[in-house]
Amino acid sequence: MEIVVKGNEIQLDKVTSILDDFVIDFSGVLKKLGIKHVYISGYVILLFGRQRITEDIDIFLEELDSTKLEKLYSSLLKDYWIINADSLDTAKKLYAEGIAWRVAKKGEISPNMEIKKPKSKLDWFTLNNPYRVILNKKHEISISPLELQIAYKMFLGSRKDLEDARFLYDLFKNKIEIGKVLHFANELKVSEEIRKAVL
Amino acid sequence: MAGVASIRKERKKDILEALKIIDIYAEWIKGKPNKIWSKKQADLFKSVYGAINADWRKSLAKQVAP
Repeated sequence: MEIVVKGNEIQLDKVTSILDDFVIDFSGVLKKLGIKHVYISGYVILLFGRQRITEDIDIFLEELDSTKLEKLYSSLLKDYWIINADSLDTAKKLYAEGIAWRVAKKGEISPNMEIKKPKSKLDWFTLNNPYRVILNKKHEISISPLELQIAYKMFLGSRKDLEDARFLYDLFKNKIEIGKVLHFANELKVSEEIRKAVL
Repeated sequence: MAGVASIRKERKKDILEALKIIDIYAEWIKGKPNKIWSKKQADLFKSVYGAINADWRKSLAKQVAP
């Protein structure tokens, strides 16, 4: 695996997995519709090679108006199905209530995409300040800012999350702004004990 | 501040929704012959770990190359 970081752009060369291929394919649908998006949480860690499995991939989409929402729904139905919505009305209702759509390839249930709406200030920051990963010189994948991702994993605080935070930190500590990690950790009120354990 | 209380509230909502999804998973799996489901799972595991291990081997090879 080759990783080159230049500012907010990361060039990554690797053998892709089923999850990577799923993400590349799904990003293609969103790009065609001009929908701003960013992958967050567990997939970001797996993209860079951490050895753990996940079946759901979390993604934030920009706020969608009714027309864009309908376009997204009908575009998805060509190759995908929405696990927790069997009609456009249900899908719209879920969206309005801020409940994530779970989307998988037709005839599959795993892996699946968990489409989330940004809600908090930090969610919006994530959507508007992504890192761009150029995968194998041809696929562009937007991921959450690494500094915030590390702090957010520390905030979540389970063993798995802390291992994820440490993994990203170890991999990128010489390439990212540690001051920003500390800033986000402050915002999220991460305890001193956890900071010392991870950073 | 980042609104930690509201982030925790949203997370709780997400977790409750995830439990509903688990019910759907279970129904979906019950509707599939075990061999199909097991194969899909095996393929996913093999692919993710296969990709990681291939990269690991490649990077090790690079480190020892003259």
